[in-house]
Amino acid sequence: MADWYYSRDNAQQGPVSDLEIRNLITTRQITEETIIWREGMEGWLPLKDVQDFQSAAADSATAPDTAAPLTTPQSTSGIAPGTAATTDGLAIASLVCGILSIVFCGFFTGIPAVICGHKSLAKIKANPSMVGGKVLAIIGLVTGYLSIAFSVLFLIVLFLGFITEIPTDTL
Amino acid sequence: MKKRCFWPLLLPVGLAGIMLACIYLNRSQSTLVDCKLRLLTGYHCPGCGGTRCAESILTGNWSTAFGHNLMLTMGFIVFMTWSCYLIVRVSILGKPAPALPNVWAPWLWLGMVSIALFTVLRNVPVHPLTLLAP
Repeated sequence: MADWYYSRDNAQQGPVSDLEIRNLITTRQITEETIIWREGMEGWLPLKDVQDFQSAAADSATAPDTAAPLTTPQSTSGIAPGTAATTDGLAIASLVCGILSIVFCGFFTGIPAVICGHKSLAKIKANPSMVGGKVLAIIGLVTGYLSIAFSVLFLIVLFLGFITEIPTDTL
Repeated sequence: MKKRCFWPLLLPVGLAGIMLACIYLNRSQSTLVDCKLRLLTGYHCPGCGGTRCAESILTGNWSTAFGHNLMLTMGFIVFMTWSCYLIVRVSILGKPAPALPNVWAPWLWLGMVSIALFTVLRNVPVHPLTLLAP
């Protein structure tokens, strides 16, 4: 039988035979997540993905597992914005400035909206599970940029009006 | 000794200042406070009628204020109420101000949806929605 190598305590163990692997599974010295390899395999694979041991791994997995799970903890990225630990104050500031800039068609609050929005997103990116408000910051950013773009557009139109002498009383 | 902060007093003062500035600019023939969206596209932006609204509020004509811009008038009422609450809580009683991150998220979403709805509805040329337009 082919020689198997497995990883335990971050060190390569083996070579061992199939039977040995099965024993190790039964005595729970290795779990279905333990990566193993033998010659002929392209790379190391977790036990559960190796056909030879899938049933053995499945059998041991259904039994109560006293070993610490090797899987990473459930990610919190699925939590809706605003229900994370705390909503970032900068995100709310960005949102308020952004909305105000849309309401008043101006870039005066658009610029702080963009600044706060970027700062807030950087903060949230650095610590996603503790700081929430990503959607709020994005809305603030988008509305801020929109109002700045609109103001620039308006200024261009105004400027064109001046230089081409379109009578501005029709505007 | 409770610590008293007086920054909430700046809130109504700041708002009054902005309103007065808009009215002054409007009266002095400046086009700074004219609605740019309306100039470019003909549609009413959510702030259209804001200066007229400010003037009505400061002169005491509340019914015309609602007619010029319903959203801004209501926003003014809410803002002044909130400012009074903050003044009493922070400046008079000396308690700390409620932290910004503790704002209940659904309020923000409700606010945004209301503004968007208001903007769309006031541009619909159907009575009684035309009452929303200045």
